[in-house]
Amino acid sequence: MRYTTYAQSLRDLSVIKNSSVSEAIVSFKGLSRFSKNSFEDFKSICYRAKELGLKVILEWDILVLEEDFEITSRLFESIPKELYDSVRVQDPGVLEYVLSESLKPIQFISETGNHNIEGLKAWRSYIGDRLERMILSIELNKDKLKEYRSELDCELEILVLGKILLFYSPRKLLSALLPEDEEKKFKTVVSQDYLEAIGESEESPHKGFPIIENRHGTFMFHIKELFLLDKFEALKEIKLSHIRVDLRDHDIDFLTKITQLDSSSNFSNLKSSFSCDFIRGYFQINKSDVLFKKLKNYRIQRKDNQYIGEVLEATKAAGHIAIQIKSDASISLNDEIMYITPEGKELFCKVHNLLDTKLSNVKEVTKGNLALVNYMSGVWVKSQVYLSKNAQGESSLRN
Amino acid sequence: MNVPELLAPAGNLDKLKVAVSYGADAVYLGGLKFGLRSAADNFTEQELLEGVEFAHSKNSLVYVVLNGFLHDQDLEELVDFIKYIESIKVDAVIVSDLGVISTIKKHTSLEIHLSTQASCLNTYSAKLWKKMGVTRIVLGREVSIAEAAKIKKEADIEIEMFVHGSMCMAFSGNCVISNYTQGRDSNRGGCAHSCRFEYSLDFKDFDLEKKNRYFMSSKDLNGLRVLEEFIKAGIDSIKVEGRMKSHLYTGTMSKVYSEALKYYKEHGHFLSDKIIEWESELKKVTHRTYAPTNLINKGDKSSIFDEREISNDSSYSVVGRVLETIENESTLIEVRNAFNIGDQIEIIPFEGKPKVIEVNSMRLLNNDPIERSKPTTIVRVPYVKGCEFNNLVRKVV
Repeated sequence: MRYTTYAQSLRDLSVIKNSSVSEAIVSFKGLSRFSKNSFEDFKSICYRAKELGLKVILEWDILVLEEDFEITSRLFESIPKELYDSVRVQDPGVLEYVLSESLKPIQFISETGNHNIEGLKAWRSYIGDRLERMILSIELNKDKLKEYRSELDCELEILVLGKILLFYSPRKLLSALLPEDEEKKFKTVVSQDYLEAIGESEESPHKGFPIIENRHGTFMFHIKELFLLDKFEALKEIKLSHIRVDLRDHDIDFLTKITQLDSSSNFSNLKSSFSCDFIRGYFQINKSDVLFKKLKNYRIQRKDNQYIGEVLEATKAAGHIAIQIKSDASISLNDEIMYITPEGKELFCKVHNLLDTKLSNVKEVTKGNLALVNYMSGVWVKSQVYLSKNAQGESSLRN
Repeated sequence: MNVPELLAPAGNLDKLKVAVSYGADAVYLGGLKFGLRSAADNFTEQELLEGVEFAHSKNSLVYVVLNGFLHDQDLEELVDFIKYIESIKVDAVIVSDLGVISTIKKHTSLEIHLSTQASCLNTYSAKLWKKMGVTRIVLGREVSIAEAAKIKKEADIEIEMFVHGSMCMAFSGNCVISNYTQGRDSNRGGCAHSCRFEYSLDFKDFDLEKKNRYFMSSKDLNGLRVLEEFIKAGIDSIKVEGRMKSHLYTGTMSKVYSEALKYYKEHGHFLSDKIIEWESELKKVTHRTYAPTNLINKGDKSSIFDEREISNDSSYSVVGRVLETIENESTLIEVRNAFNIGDQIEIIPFEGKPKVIEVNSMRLLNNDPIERSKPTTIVRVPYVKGCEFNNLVRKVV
């Protein structure tokens, strides 16, 4: 398990080297979501990294719209090939471009929307020999990471310390709020092409979302950062090839302490020396689908067995319940029916009055029509209706 | 010149029938799992079968969304479902996850469309997904029509674009606010719409008054005025967002856009006063401020919907839908919002202009006369010739 991290300056490189980290992720404003480096700064960092014997990973992690693709790919082409060893990409279009136009090994960022082994294997297979590393999602828990380690024959990496990106929009949402003169100032002062704010909402239990806007759009982060280093043993057991510490918003000197960690280290001391709060995200378990059951009322969801239809009207004064017959199972006089109400009550009733919409007594009402049956207390609109026993007394509902 | 398919949302079986009856060439819908709208009614297997049979009987197509970013346990359950939907002759599935694509290809011959959730934004991306077995791409909502035309030409693949409805502010699939703030995976159907919340912002380098803003909320997309651009660009399908939205929304969108496309087929242009009528119809359903965001120009600050309330043309309100007509006798209306004797209501036929009637008598289902209808009841109004089951009804306020 080796460390990887970002180098934003020449000084960062010295710390990386002194911390015995063998590689650095490097980029510049044109290709990277968050880099503040100019192209010239970037090249200087790459040259120096090479001199120090570090592996240089070029990060091209922006999502690229068609109209920007040509200019962005030209930026990529303009980078001297000897300056970097691998390319790290996320946009499938960028992946395809690098596959066809470059010979460099590829590190594929599968952090967004890749949460099953079937998909990861398909990416592995598609990129083939050019795939050097996959950067896995922090939404995968430790058991999944371990399982995937045994199924994927390439280097695997996850973020273990750093900001959690929640939202990436190409629209410029912060500068839009500036008064016109301030907006002009922001747009014309080159050094300020990085706008920052802290957002909070009464409607969210979380306060203090860091938000940035730059040339690539607007990004919002979690109020806390991810910290998995105190799960050192578990991480070691997973046997990922690389763990990534993102210190771009912290003092790079933390790297020295981090790389000296072992299972017996005092992680609380390390944690408390940072100026932010931390969470472990989904490393232990991911239950982000368990609340779905509460998003709607499943009691009024049609079950296909012996389904008749839905109550559209229930009026005590008129003494009837109007049922829209929605299935092939018609409703007949003397049928025994069951209502499942929106609150989940099961109410049984025999059909002893059956009228059509002309208020004529009928023996049967079929699909697509409205049936008026005798009123029953407790039955409401949206109750679902099932055949319980037919007119001959044969039970229909399965247990 | 070919006109694109009109693809409408079907949040449940009733809405599917409404969309198809009002002219949608195709509908998209979700089963009980695997989509991005866990809170929508969605379709049971039996409802899916009935929906497909109904749509096919009217020459409309049915696409099933399987566009969640699925986890391993979801994929295990997916196999039986995709086999089932293939057996009932669903026309295509809409997918955003490569694992789902692999599973579908392994077990079925279903046609695969790439969901906007995969944020396909450029030609190289389209070429990659085509190699993965995708036959149509629903482009990211940030892509303009001009860019789409180029992608279609260079990647040689069917292209679908959103023409109307709510917009994600983020690149689709690149927002996990709900995951970390509500414990609900936004990419498996649990989006809590945190982008619609009101936020107060404290700027780092600017001394601005702290003010609450809806800075992440997008205006609604309305592409009616640029329909001709879609056609010229050769876009294969235009899609209306909104599986969670009402019957009235589904019906109005299907009717307006299908009539507009039909008009173009017949006349080869949109130079008609009808465009004003269509626009007026679109304003009668609840919506945020409309904008053609990204279709022609990239969304700038004018694309932000800095308000809480959504609105509609306040001179109209939804009444309900026609349940049945009894010839020369009465029209039965399922009431969603109350109306009174003397009110003017409009019954919207599947084709043609709304039928305006003044309610001069009204009875309950048991024929008792009433002055005012109540929601969740069924009332009889005088017989209106030409009305059909599922015609939508609104009130002129």
